[in-house]
Amino acid sequence: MILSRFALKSKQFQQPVRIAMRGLADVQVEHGRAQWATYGDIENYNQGKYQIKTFNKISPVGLSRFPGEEYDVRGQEKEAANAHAILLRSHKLQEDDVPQTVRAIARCGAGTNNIPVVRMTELGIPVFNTPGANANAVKELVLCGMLLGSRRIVDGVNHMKSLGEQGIARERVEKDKAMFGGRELKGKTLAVIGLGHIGSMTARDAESLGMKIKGYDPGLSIEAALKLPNTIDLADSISAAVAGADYISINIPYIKGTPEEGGTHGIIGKDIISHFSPDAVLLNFARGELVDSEAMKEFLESGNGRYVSDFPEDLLWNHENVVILPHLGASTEEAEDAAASMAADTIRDFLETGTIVNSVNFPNTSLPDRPEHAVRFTVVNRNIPGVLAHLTEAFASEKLNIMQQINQSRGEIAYNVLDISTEGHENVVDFKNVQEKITMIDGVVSTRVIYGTPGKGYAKNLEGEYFI
Amino acid sequence: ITMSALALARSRAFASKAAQFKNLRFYTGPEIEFEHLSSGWSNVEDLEEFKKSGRYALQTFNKISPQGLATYPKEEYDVEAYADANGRPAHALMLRSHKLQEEEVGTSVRCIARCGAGTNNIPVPRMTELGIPVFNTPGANANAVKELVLCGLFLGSRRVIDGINHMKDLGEQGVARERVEKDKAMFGGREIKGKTLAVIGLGHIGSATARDGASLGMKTVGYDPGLSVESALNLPKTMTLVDSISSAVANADYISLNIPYIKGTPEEGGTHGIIGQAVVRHFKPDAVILNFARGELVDSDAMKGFLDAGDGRYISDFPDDLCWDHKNAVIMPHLGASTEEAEDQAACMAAETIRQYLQNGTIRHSVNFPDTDLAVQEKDCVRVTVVNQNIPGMLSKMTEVFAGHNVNIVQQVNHSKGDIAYNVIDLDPAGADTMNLKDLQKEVTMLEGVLSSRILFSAPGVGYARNIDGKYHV
Repeated sequence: MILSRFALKSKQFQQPVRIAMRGLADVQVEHGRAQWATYGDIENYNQGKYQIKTFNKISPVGLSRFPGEEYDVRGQEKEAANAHAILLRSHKLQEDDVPQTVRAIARCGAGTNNIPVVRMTELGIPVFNTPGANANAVKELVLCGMLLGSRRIVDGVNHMKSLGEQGIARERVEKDKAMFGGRELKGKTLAVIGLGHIGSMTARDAESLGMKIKGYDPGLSIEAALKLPNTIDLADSISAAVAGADYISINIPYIKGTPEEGGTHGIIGKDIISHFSPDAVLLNFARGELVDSEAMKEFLESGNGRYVSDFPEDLLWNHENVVILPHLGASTEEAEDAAASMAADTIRDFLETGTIVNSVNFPNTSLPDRPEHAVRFTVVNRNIPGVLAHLTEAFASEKLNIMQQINQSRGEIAYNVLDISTEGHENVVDFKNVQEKITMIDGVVSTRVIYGTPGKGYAKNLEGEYFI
Repeated sequence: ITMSALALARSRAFASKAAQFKNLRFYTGPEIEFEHLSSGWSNVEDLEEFKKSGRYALQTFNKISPQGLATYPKEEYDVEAYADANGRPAHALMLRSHKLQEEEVGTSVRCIARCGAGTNNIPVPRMTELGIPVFNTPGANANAVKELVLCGLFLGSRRVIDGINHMKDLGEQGVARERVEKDKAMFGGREIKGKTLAVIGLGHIGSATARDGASLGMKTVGYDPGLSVESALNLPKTMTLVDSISSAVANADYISLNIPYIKGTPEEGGTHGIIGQAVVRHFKPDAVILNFARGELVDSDAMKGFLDAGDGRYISDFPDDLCWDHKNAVIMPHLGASTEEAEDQAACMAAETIRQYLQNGTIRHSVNFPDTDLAVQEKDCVRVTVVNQNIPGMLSKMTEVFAGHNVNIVQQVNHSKGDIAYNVIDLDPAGADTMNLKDLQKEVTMLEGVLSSRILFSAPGVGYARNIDGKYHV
């Protein structure tokens, strides 16, 4: 029953389009051959609009980047069984959360540990993040952390509360304040481990506060280097950077596995800590698991060092020289707006033009604007030999001309964008056959035909079966 | 009591050592005869002991930074805590926040230095009446306070303190990891970048705060009716200066108070409660107020009303009887200057101020005496300083006395401030073998209106005479 109703509706889709279409002939694609297992509430499915499903509370400023005429954005209160893209923050995404219609997933934030990225790659779904959107928010919290690690401010504030409760704040404050004094940042040395968006901004601001800066980053990019203070002293190892430093900030990503295995789990361990000054202040606003708690505990017990972090710490959370904040690094309106806006723009670019930027699993891919009278095909395939040849052959055999194309690969996945000319063809250009042919090439995972109609043109090769 | 040959030799020994130190006044002229300890000092127990030491006696209240105290050359200064001195006379006092009583200021004290900016803990008008300059250390604490203000900017932007305390609670219940991502939403907030910071008072601390705010991406607005050139050079180029506190705060997201506390309401010319209803009503409803200057600048009632009405914040390192437990207030102990660096710098600055006064008669950083600095003469002059009440005719009477004793004045300077005047006079020994200044000193000191005089010729601890209620103390 659903089948027939859907088939009926599919005739309505055959209308000339809207998005970025300039005088294109009527394009026909297959749609809704009824293999999609999750229709959900078909009555509420907005035809002609991309459906975006969100998890967590996404900033309205970011969501407003999706033009209402072309995008139907649904939060968790509304069913979104035919979502074309998913937007989320820290929700732990299950495979079940991802309908088969989903073309892309965007995370408003930097880390993607909450998304099964490897599985999404297998399914040919690019996962995007928002590098740099949170940078200023995290940087400001790191600066706050440096100051909290210099005088016993938190202890002092709590002490004032208990004096207040006893009604003796004024009498005791001058005498008791001696317990909470400390030192200044000015003139001290800050070592920044990891000089990406956050690390480089932290280095620059610390220098303007009068600190000497040391840094370490084996993969320092030119873009980041331009942001660094000229006076920075670059070391060639973490140990060399932290030796002699009064403050140390870790700003590297968390990669599963020990350092020997190529990961960063527990990278700040006994070995590196042995180079710390006894009263060094360690700031960890990157990831809790970067620090080896046991080694940190020993360090704190043996000197007057401090550990300030916005990640939970099972072993040290109540140590007198430790300050643990909630994970507030990106918890500002500005960062939420910036991340959501960046994620929305990334999804729009992908859905409307096939461009890939800021993806954690797919290669950066960008082809100039689709020319007039061209239809854009995108093909996701496993990175195995021979696929490209089959692809171009398929178009040739249908007498379709490729005007421009690009092919990029990354790890196990490859991505192609091809602009196919419709000139010289009659009024109706039928891509049904060629799409099926291409999609069923061995190694191809999915294909899309982008010609301005939201929600149509996506086909998948699911274990040898053609889904469209 | 005249100076013995031994003392003279010691004085010459001082002189040669003195040549190694900068700014040290040394004297290689004729022997000076002067009165010492002949009358009046009621609290000198061991006269012989005191006469022999030939060092300045410096006594301290509170724990003064050892680095600061180390700047006093041991051969010329005895430094000890007042509590350990057992009544031994002091020539200068150094203190931090100890509440100084008049009884603690012996007759031999020439000056008092406070390691810090405010001098509310010292009875300054009474010290002025006694002719005792009180020094402070403006700017020594500036970086320490500024860094705490910066911390306050961040603590007022996200609920950092509440969040930390919440994490402790969660830790005690063993549910930190499970709850942190969910609960963190209670403690988020905003960034300072792109926001507007209003700085009220643009002295050492205010100007440094404005500059750092600007380098962190803030727009800055400032108000200071007495903006000095030195401070203006320190301000961010993009700062807007306005002509009233209300204008400054009107569009500000963050407001920092950096003005001194002066007793009396604004109408009376003071700054007590200057941040009151009239100013507070111009605040944006979510403005963050930072008060690291003085608690009494803020009218607590007006502040409480403001905090209750909107989403504003009050961050301060002074106690507040009304707002201390408000959910939108963060009250720290008075930690603005509580860093090793500030304590060292304040102590060093205070020590330097004292040394300059005792050894050269130079006055700088005094809260009650006028700045006075007469360059040291190449010639072997004897320097005399005179403190007098600022009444008409004093200068001519003093010069008359010097003329009457046939003593030539090589150079002199005279400054006044409020009720007090200060003179530094360099006398020319004119090739004489000895100079008897006993009578000269007595005559000058006993002039109506003179409070004290000193003869500086690098013998520490001698040459100070006072006119106390018509009695001559020397």
